[in-house]
Amino acid sequence: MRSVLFILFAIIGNSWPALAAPVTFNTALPVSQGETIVRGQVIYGEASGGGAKFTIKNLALATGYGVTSKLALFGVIPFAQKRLQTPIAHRQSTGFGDARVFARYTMIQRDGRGNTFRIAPFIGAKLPLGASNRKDQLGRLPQAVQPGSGTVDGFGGVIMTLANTKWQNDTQISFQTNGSANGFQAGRSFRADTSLQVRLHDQALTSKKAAYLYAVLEAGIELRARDRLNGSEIAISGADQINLAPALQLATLRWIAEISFLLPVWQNTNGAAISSDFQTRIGLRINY
Amino acid sequence: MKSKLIVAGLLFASLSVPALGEDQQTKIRVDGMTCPFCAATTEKALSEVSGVKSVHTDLEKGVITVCATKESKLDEVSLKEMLLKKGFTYVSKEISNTCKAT
Repeated sequence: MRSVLFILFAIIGNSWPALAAPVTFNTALPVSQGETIVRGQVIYGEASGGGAKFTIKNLALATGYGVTSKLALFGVIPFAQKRLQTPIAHRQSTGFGDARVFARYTMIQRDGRGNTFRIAPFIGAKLPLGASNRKDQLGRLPQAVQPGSGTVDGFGGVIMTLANTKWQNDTQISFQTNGSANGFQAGRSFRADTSLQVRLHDQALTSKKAAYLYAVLEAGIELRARDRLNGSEIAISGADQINLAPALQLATLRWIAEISFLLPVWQNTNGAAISSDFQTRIGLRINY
Repeated sequence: MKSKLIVAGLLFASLSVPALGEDQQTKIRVDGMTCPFCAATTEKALSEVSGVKSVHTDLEKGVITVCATKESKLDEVSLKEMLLKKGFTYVSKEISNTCKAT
């Protein structure tokens, strides 16, 4: 435990100043050439309906490295506990989920006095790190409770950043296509997310100040096509959802602490009884 | 007379020898810096340059003011490369012979 704390303090002690960024997505994480960024988030989410309750406790570790001033590589590894409680059974799994790796390339950068506009496409893959065929005394766990999908999935998109000295907006669109494992294929998904980070107070703009507080408001839409089982579409599957997530970020010279509360404002579950209730995130981020 | 000649000689010598260790102020115009801590990353990198004594950033104006010895390596190529690595755009620099308090 001591050695872990020592390593943590050593990393923070050598860290670079941290910058505001979206809380609920990682594609806009700022990282300069030769720098590494690490973000750890504890995510807790609940979904319920029809007498059932699904909870997820997830520790997600994201890291990125600036290969050049334009190219950055990222990886995200989750460790989650998923639990499904129904009137007749409790089923759960704990373990590493699927890892995501992606590369981002800043294609357009227009810098002005105290402002910047950047467009960066990204492309990546979801790798089947998590177990996908866990069983309990009742048999194979439902797909939603499995730690991983068992498939290699591809995703890509574009992130756009517009920033000045008072606020920053990051907007991404992304698309994911999924492979098939154990006869199951998750539906393709499309996401659009936007994040507005506003520096609170009319604080003097100086790099010498110890900390800044940012108010963040994020919104996202996810359209998920129906899943397939043994080639046939599952009627009660897939979902469309619009989320809103207010958040706070405390940015210091060494680290950024962040907290967000995501609420679905509209959902279409295609007849599925369970729908998302909320998701909270608490995280810490450092650059070094 | 001899001492007057020595003093005059020393004065002449002091004027003709390069002014080692003298400070100068460099104002660097940078585009793309939007947050206080973006500025801090650049300040940290600049302060690690040999001879740099102080660094101050005015984000609204996009200007970094560096006080450093004349021998410090703050040429355009180095600055451009350093700022590019940080994700910003070097625009220009302006040198004056005295460091003013910022």
